[in-house]
Amino acid sequence: MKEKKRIRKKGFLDNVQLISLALPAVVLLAIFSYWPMFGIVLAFKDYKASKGIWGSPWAKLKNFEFFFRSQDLTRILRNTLVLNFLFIIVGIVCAVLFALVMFEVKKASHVKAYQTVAILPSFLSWIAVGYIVYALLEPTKGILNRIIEAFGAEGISWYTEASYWPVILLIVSLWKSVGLGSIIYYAALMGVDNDLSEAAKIDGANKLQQTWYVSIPQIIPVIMIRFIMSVGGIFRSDFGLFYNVTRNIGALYSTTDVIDTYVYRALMVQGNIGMSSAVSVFQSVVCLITLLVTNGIVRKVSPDNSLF
Amino acid sequence: MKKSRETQKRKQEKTSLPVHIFFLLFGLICLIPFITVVSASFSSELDLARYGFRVLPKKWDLTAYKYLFENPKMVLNAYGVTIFITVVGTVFGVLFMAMVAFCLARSSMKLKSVLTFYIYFPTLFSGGLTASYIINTQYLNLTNSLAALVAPGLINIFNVFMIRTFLKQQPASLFEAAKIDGASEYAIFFRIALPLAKPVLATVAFLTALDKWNEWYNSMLYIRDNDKITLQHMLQRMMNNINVLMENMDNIPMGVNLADIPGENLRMAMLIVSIGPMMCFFPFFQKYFTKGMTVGAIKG
Repeated sequence: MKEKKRIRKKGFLDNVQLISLALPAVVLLAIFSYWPMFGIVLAFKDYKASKGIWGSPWAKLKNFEFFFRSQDLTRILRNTLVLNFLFIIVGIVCAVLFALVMFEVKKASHVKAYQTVAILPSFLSWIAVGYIVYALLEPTKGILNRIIEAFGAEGISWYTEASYWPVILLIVSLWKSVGLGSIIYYAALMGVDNDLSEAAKIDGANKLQQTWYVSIPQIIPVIMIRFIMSVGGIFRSDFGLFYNVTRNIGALYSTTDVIDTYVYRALMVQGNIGMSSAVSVFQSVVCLITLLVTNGIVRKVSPDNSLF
Repeated sequence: MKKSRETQKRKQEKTSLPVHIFFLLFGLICLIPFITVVSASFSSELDLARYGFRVLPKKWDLTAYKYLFENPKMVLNAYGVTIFITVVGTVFGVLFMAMVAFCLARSSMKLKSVLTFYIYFPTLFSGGLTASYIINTQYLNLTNSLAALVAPGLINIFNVFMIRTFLKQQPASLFEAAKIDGASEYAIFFRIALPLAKPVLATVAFLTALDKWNEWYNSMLYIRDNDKITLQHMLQRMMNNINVLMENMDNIPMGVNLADIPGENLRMAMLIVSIGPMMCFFPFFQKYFTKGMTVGAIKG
């Protein structure tokens, strides 16, 4: 009896120690993640700095009305969804292709060298990428226009022509991420049973057939999971890409303005706290819904890969 | 035995030529933009205006760097801030993340499922930029504070789960044996778990350091004071306005043509000065980067 009590006491003490280890992370998340969650009431308030978040008068749905009535809504929703969907699809296809070609490199030292170069761009911040894109696209000095002009055609004023930017952003985002993105598929390919390819080879399958009928079906689960998970986050954009690579130029907003850049400008440039928090909340809620839905799908398809 | 023969066979196969050509071309696509910005930084402004950005400079010219090194105050400040937040952010970030991950990995932990949910939930739902901004500026007074660059993103949830998964894969008997010997949970964490988790901690440390080195977002939101901005934030401001740097430059270097006021070349020199050291340094840690991509199953 005494022994049992002692053990229980020891177990309690251990748990206190464990919880104290978790404490710094718990406190940091409480301050920087959970507190702002309650801050979403801002979207329903007419915020006055002097009165604080809770003290400010309620504005009912005024902040939302303004946003839903404006034409900005369709624009930023369209840009967010179309561009992110494009990035996801093309990104996965290119990363898989890249991994397949990488799989054909037989010498380990070559694989390492090629990987090092391919993931170099992912070390850069979006600011640095913005500089590099600028060196290519600057209208008078940029390399691209110099090449176009060398062929006798007229240079293009890239930073004022919104119509080119979906493609430019796609290429830039691929350039930065394809090398790193391919690694997960390359690892999956390495795990594919060699016997299958050997068997296919003996049956007379050529290289392409081996890839199409043996390698790709083996990594389909990984591809599906990546796809579904990325779609779950489709309402969140990579702010750095859309803000820095476009240099935040107004003429490009029609095709490059996404929810995150819109919220940022509403807050920092216009100082419209009501509207920016309304859009923020709108984004958080649709994001939560898409994540729950996509996770539900993953759980159906392959329970091992679902997040929760 | 069979496996090793197969791998040997795979080794003996030759990589076909088109594959090599593909990677050489891709390598060029990755490297040429770098070489272009390097060469722009070594060109005079007049040459840039005349010939544009080129892969190799028409004539090597050091004016931009002379300006930078004659007026090092701003760059040095930004370097100091960046190094400071990288070191502090990595040390405390890795420690705190390992601590909470250990807690999540211990089977004797009572509130494990509650804690797991608590740690995980912020990836699903967030208060958004506006609420964070108001709280950080109005309630926590983080404006112009270096804490704003370190504290908000210190606990990366993805990394926490990566460490936890690694610790869970270790034999639990290691921890239990120490337990029986009367070790406290602190002792188990510092003496057994931390040394055991070295490989995954290295990956997390690398990812965190890279993240902090490239920090600009919080700097852009919270830092107004020129002396406290990070390198990347300084670059960002220079992209919008080259004068940010020039107006802080009082010393005109000797032997420089005064008509040749640096502009684009100074921008690019600044870019090289700020990303150069990192680009030389980080590729050596590539394996931690690739490991981080393939580990990291988050599961509650």
